[in-house]
Amino acid sequence: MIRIYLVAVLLLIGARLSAAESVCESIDRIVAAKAKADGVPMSAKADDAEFLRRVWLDLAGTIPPAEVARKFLADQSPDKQTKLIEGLLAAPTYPTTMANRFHIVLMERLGDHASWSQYLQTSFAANKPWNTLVKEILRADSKSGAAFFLSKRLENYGQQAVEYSALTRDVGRLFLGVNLQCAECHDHLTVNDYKQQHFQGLHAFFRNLALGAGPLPTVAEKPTTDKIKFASVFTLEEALTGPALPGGKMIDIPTFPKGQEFAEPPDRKTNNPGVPKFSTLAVASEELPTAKNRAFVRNGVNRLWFLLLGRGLVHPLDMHHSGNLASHPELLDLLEREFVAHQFDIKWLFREILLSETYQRSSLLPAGAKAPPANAFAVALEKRLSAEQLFAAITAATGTKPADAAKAKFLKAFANQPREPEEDVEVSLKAALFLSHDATVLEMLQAKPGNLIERLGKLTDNAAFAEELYLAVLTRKPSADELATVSKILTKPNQIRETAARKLAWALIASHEFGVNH
Amino acid sequence: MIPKELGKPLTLPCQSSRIRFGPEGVLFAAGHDGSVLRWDVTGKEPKPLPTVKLHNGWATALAFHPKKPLAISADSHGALIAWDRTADTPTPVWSQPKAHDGWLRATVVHDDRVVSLGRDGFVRGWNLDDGKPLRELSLGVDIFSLAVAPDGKSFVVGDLFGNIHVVEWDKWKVLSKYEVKELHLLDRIQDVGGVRALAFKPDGRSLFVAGSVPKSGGFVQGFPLMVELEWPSGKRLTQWKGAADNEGFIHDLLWLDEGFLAGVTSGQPGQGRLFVWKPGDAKPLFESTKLPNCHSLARHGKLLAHSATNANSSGNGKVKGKDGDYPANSSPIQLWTMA
Amino acid sequence: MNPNLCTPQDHRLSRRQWLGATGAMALGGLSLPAFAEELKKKRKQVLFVWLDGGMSQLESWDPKPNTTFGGPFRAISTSVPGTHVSELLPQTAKQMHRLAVVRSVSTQDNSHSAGVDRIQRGDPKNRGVVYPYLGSAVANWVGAGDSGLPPYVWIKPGNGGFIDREAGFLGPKFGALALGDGKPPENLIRPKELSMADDLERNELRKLADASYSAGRRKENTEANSFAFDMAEQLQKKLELFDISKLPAKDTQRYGTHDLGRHLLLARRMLEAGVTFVKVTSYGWDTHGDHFNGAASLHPKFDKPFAAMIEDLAERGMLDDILVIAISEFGRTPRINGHLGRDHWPEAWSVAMAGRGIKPGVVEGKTNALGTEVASEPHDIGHLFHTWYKALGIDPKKSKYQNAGQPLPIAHEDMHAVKEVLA
Repeated sequence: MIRIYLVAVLLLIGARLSAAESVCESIDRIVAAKAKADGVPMSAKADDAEFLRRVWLDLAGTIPPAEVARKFLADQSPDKQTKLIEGLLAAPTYPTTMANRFHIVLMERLGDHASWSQYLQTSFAANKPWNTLVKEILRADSKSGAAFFLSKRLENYGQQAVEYSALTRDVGRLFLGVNLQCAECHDHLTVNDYKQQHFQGLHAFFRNLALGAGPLPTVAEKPTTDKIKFASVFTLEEALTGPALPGGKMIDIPTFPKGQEFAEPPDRKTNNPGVPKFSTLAVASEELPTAKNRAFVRNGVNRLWFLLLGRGLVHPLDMHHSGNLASHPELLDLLEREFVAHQFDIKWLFREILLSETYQRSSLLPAGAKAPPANAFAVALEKRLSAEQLFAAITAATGTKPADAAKAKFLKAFANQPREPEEDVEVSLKAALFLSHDATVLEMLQAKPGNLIERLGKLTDNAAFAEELYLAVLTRKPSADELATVSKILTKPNQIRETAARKLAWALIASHEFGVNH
Repeated sequence: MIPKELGKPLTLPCQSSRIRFGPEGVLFAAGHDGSVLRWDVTGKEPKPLPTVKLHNGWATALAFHPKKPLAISADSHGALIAWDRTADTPTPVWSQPKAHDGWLRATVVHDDRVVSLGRDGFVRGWNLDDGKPLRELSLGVDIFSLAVAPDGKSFVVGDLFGNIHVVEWDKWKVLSKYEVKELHLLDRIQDVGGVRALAFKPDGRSLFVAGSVPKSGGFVQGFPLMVELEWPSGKRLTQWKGAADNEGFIHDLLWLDEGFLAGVTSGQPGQGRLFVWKPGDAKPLFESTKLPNCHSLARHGKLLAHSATNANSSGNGKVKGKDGDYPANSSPIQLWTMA
Repeated sequence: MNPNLCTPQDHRLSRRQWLGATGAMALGGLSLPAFAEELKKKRKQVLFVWLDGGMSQLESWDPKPNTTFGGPFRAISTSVPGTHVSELLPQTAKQMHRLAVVRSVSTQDNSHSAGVDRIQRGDPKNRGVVYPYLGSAVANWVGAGDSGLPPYVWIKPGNGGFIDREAGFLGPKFGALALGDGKPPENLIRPKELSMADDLERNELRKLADASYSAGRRKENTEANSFAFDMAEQLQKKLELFDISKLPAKDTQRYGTHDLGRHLLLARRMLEAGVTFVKVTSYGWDTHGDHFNGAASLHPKFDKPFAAMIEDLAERGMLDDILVIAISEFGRTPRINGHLGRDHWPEAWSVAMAGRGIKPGVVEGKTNALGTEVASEPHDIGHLFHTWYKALGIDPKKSKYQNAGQPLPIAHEDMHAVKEVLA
């Protein structure tokens, strides 16, 4: 009932909005209205330094060099922030950064492949729409590299069987925002909306896939001829299902005379797995990433929102259900509508969010207020930095040339285990020990020609030293207290400037402020 | 070599994992309630004979002398008992209650000697007529299966780790050891697998070794595997491996004169089959999955019998029967003819 | 995939899913022990041995040979006249005079995914919050003491790292430091080029930076980060603890060189060093198939080091301070399935305990002759939590969690301690 009411209201509002208000303004209006209604005070706008660092990390995957920071902070033009956003969206670092961020989301550290990263890179360089991206991923054409999403999940190791259940789950979680893990053997025990039929119907699209042969990621599909028989382990009632999206209609399975199931017969010599006349994968790629699939649109918007704001409008990101509603339902509906109206244009949605006050809010609490609930978006949330972002930021800060071996070590220290999403800022003893004792990190803090420690070592003026240190590492100027602390260290008897630089730089790199995107 | 079903399955009051035919055509089943069940299957209809109650724990193994009317049976508490198999209510002719420390897994009769082995890692030989201990061999590991070579000069013992120990018959000197390492896996802290069945080809040219290639312990997932070793060299010849990891173990094997092996498998509840396989073929030429979870098979002339398990034998929690009770499972036995 | 059985390994609810289903989670809950003085009197430590998958009570603490469901094994007498255990626990049988076994345990959940969480959380009444596991709870109530080590250490096969999900609403600081395969975390040792003085100074600077950053900001993540560095600092001082090769050979022999043996030996070291709560996990006990051969392999591998541990703790007088618990998420069915296995069985199973506050040499409760039902007063995991808190000197009436202003009971409020096993 509430749903119908909301939809009616939204249609009315929507009609008015498209004439008057930009999406970016709508975001701010709705967030502010709810905060006001809930009595939640909102933070002020982020200052230049906070904003600069945040946008760089989000769009360029690293922190700006000290010189860039210095210039930006000194710049007096009123539209410098908008210019910065536009510049970073247009820069070559945008596709590289987004390719990496989406790689982490979509592959969850299961593995990587040159053709896959190339595919993501070109897709984001061309600003490929989200629905096209998902369509290509599901279609799994081996020539494009997009097949890797499925092909990696079709691998098996030694005696382990292929984990079709996990593959089905991942499609549900990543593209539809539903985690059907506990709905495989029975209806979900705690989420009423998730039924065993949903899991099994989705599974029916993917269970006849196999890893194809060849150097490129390849997915082979065997013909689907029968429905799946399944039964709840509790009720033991048997049911049959063909391919069906959760809540969607069941796709009919056509019958072909034996031997005529393939449109393109398999050919061992060319490693061609063949193309069945009825391809469930083709159907999935046509039906799943569409405007009429509400779950797909909602999940897409929610995940893009999450990448910039640090929390989904529905949270956790894969638990959309009627018992877990969006924090701002009107906003989510609006963004869904507009995303569809703009043909799933990712960069467009990012721009609208980036230009909003909601995105540009500070992480400093309003004076005297206690922390509001995260889902109010009244105060900017700390976002986790990926291993890749941390590596880029630390090499940038220390002036080290990024090397593959070092990057691999960072990945080992900061990336999660496969299939553990990297969504939250997590306590990590491993990371703390890595930053403290790893040879690679310590190496970066040794003076080398042109790097941070060498530069600092040469700065005799304490104030200049402090400014260079803070701009290079934390992308801001030091406070008076911080300057005092730096001076105190530097003026200790027998203090070698280089050693002091090393200690001070490490302290800032290991600090929480550096390790998150705030 | 296609067996044909003969009548409806025999129903048992309990589970059984070992059935054997006696020389007179009586079918014996070692029951998990400690009893040995019997049927005379020589007539038109199988006729149940009085149950023999001599054992504790599970009755686990059976052996017979071809001429003397003795049956040898064993149990999981370690007892070995000899009794007159033709009697209605047999009493022990002799009994060794502590033949082994715990689970006695296999026994054979050969040349007036009874050989037994068990979880205690010992192989022991006993005088057939009075049960006096004659020989002992300590292998130090859990052992499962036993077979005497057709020429009677040696016997083989299969252990938990996929090893086949070859022992000389007279003095029990260990001659050699063959390895089928795939039949064992150390999964975390569990040693899974074992050589579960051994069968010689009657011409003494090869030995068939069977069990499972475990994929994991716990649940136990594994592919049935049977390997043919040339005898006595131990060189690998043919093999057959099941297709799916839920098919479990080959638990029992026997040679059908006509050049085929018959065996039974049991895997996840609901899985398991009776199969007939010609060594060298890619797949068995006959399989029956009608009765799931098959544990044993036996042969008498043209008659074949195999024991399985009732359907719906598993389930978490208190799975109730039709009458609201909590029923135990049982092992139906299907008879076959090989005409 | 067998439609009758969920695959044990990947059928686990993650913390995130649990949150999604039950609503928002309140982080950083505080607790108010109302008896700070009592805490200081005697040391309070716990050894929690978790046999993941469900150890069979019929092949361990509550054997029933020669019955319909009894299986092939025998029962053996123990150091307590009249009390028998399965022949698969011969060493533990000799330590029964130090143990208490509750044979009347009856719990609610026969699935691994929810079952593990519910058992380790004490299955309290649903309050819409995520309760902490026992380890995190005890870490909260007892603290780290003077060990200089984290209060909750988890020794397990596989990966290590800091596992904060077990802390529930208590917040990440009360998570477990997991030692993967008992190994110290990587990079624990300070490199030679870095002097201790420099390390100290730079960490002081780091703390200063964090303090100034978090002033005026949300604190949880900064605190968690500091906590990780503090833990790193503390662990560095305890390197020798991890090296069990330094221990006498007779220890390694008695405990065994298999995973569970080595891990229990390391656990003893941790307990000797004063760690408050040590959990040792052994995986692979879910023997739905070939159970009897499985138990024949598994149970002795628990028996040997567990008995050695009890003996060692007793010898060192440590059983006065340490509460020992050996438990799974449920037992195993009396009914034997077609794969000659036993399935999940929360209806009537056993839990063993010893040490601090526990009456030694007793068996409480019983099952009927076939093992299909509890034949005396049944005890749920909530009863056991009450029992254990009491044994540790923590009074559920006086100690309540304070979670965002809401007082919460430490154990199921309708249940009570099993006084028959309390000293």
